[in-house]
Amino acid sequence: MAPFQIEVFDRLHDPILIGVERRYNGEDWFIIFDVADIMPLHMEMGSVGVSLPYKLQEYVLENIEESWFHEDGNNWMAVRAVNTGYLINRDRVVMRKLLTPLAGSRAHLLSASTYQYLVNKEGSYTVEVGRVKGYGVPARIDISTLHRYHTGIFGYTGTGKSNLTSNLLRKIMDTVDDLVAVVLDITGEYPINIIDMLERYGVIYLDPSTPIDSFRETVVYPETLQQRMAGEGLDPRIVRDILMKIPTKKLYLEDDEVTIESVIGEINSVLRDADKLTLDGRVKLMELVRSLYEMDRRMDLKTFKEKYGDMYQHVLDTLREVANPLNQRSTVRIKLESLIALIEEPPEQVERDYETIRKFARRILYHGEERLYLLYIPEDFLAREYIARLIDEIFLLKKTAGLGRKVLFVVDEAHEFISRETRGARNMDRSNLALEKLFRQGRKYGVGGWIVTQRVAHLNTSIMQQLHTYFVSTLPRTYDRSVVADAFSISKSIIDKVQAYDMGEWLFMSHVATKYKNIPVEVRTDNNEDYVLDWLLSKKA
Amino acid sequence: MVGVGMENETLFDELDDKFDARIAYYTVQNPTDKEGKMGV
Ligand SMILES: Nc1ncnc2c1ncn2[C@@H]1O[C@H](COP(=O)(O)OP(=O)(O)O)[C@@H](O)[C@H]1O
Ligand SMILES: [Mg+2]
Repeated sequence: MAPFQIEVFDRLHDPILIGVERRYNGEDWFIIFDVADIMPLHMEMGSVGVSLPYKLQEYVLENIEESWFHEDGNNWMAVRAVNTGYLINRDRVVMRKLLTPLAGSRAHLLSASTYQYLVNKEGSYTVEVGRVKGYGVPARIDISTLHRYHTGIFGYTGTGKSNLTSNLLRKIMDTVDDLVAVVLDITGEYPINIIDMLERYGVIYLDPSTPIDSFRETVVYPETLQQRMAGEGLDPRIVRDILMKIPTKKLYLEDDEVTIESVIGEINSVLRDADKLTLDGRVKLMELVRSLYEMDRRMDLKTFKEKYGDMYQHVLDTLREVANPLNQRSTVRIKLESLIALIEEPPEQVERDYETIRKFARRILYHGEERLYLLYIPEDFLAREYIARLIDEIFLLKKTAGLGRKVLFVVDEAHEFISRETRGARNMDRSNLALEKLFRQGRKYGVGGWIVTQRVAHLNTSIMQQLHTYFVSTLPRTYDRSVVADAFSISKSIIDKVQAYDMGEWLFMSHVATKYKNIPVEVRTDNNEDYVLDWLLSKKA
Repeated sequence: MVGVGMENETLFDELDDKFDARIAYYTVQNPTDKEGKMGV
């Protein structure tokens, strides 16, 4: 037992690691612990209770009051800490081993540089995500892992999730330069949060019912940013003027393009009326479908005609051979004739100010200098359908037409898309299925996902299990915290620390982004609004 | 395995001189929730 030390006691309120001496296999090691909580104690505290006469209580308490600042040997502190499962030695060799400490062993406070040594992962994709609370040193992580593996950002409303998401997105886009991101926004806060990136290489997509002009007028500003803009004399019209310059398109679910796939569809519908066909005709059509299936089904007919002239001619010939013997007025013959006409004169592909999901998916994977796609769809049930269709399309293309670019999907308000409570929420099944596919198979195809939400409790667990990195901020409900603790195997004592967090403070843990996995990192992150404000000011100048 | 530039830095925090702690007990609540208490 040794004196209570106020300076140490105060320091222990902020994150700090402790090394407990342990001989292991004849060598000296330190078991690394993370402090969960602390309690100041005095020898005489136990005697103070409701039944102790007041005068005596006062006497004892006066004694205790003074004791904290004088080393009288009667007080001490109890520190509760959680084993991180790592050992370190004096040469900073680190070993993963969950070793039980022995009572009476000495414990030491580990330094900031030791902490950085354990956490910071140096490499070409390393960025500073924030400053470590307590130690005040930068936390440097491998940001590319946030795309290659999946990431979750959890916290109560207003804790700064969208702010952090925008911030991390900027860092990953700056660092991983062949990455493309699709941001799904239902609240309308991203046009301003990531306006700088949108201006550099972004496109905004709206659902058809949102008029482009009124969208620009109804962009949602964080209140604090609005005030700070006013304080700097920045006219909000500057934002609208910038948005005017960012390509903005409407996105349609329906497909209006005539492709090989449409031809296959038509032939299949003829085959369903097979009794109207001759046996020979049926076989010919079935063979035709089979050979068409071997082509890129997304190809439009004009390209088909230009690039694959022989096959194109073969399709026309076969269809004529099948149609000619049939009765002039039979519906099957009429169907075949109109299909022949369509193939003979493929419709022109025109540039429009709108796009279909199909073209959009192709653009994401294979085209353009654009790297950032903001999908603003305020209607939640529509947003679910859009994201489901888009993910399906991206995976289909990746599997059949080539991997193309790496894609990161950012899904804010994720509980609207991957809730287990599907009752009453239109299209929730579809978005669940599509996102499950993304989180399960994404790694193989270079597709990553970030899910951002305040409601952890009812999230799709098979998606939660696929997350390798997570940021957690204040979650007031015990149940939410226990879900996070269970899902990611974090000690409850550690997760409970988030209760005391301020805006922009995060508990960060990762299997992949830090040097040694799953060392809890408590960071204070930069405010995205600082960046946006500076950027807007530079635009004005 | 020794980190570059770490030679001059110490393993312990400056405040460690004032932290005279020992392990008092160690409990295992579940495999992921191992915690220990230290008294000073
Ligand atoms: N890192 C930060 N530093 C300072 N303030 C922040 C930080 N992150 C968020 N905030 C503040 O918190 C507010 C809410 O942030 P927001 O990202 O919209 O929260 P959420 O998405 O969790 O509801 C913002 O207006 C911003 O002023
Ligand atoms: Mg938000």
